Amino acid sequence: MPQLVEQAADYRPLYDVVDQNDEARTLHVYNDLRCKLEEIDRSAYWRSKARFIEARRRLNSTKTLARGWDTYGAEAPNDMARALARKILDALEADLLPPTHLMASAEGGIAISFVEGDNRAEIEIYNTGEIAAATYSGSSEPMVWELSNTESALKNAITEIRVRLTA
Amino acid sequence: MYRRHRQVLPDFDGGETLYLRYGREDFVQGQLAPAAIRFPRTSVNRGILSEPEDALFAEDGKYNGLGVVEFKVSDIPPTIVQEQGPTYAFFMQHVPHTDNYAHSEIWSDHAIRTGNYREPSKTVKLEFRIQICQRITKERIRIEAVRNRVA
Repeated sequence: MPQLVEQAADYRPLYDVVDQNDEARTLHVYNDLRCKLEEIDRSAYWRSKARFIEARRRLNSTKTLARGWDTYGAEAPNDMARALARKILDALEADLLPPTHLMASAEGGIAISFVEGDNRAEIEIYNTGEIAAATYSGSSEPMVWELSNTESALKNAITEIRVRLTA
Repeated sequence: MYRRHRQVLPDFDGGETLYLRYGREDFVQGQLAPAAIRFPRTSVNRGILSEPEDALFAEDGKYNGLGVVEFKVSDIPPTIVQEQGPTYAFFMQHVPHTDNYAHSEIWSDHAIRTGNYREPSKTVKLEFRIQICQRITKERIRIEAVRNRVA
């Protein structure tokens, strides 16, 4: 037994010998665990925050694009598409759904992509002010729909995308 | 690469390879992003008339550093059916340029063919682009991009 106690001491703070009913020590372990969980939670928050910062940085960088930026003659995203994309990013952030990627779309506009394992989703905001959304997985047929520029339509789309991504 | 008065070759085999340029940030988690493909008349190079590097040929070198992916003619969805609205058919057209004989385009028309190019709706185009990109994974890279499309 003394040998075990000695070994446990070597592995602190991962392993600790806790006597039964030793409240002071179990409380210490509990507090340690709680701190670690809070740390993980904070890091998930910052990861999400970083993805929104990156998406907004990429959105701003599309201002420098000119017609033909894709080398195949695509229109550059215009201010209307950028304003709508900004609004959608705000809604996504409020709903804690960070995008994986944001880029100019060769269709003329902005594309916001989401990836969760094998599941993917897209929101495309076009220079015409139209918005389309899609969810798909592996090689299965995508589900695509047109999105009206209203708060409720956007909220429904975010819910749908979240459900499909985590399916 | 130059056309030099050669004829249009209208027939495409399903197994024929097509080449498309891409930029370093066009792949999202191992798959080409649908936003990287433009649909009105998507430009590609025919594999039977060119090599992957020909898709990067420009006299002024403006495509240097971009990459090339390949996909097959059979990867193009033959039709996309809409619940409301016409069904669209997708097919290849050989459209040679003076400096690029292999240049071809993916066209669309109503399923009951009119013989002309018919522009589909945004949702049909997005579905079409997603279906192509589902097949363009990193294994389809023939030349790795080392820069973005905007230098």
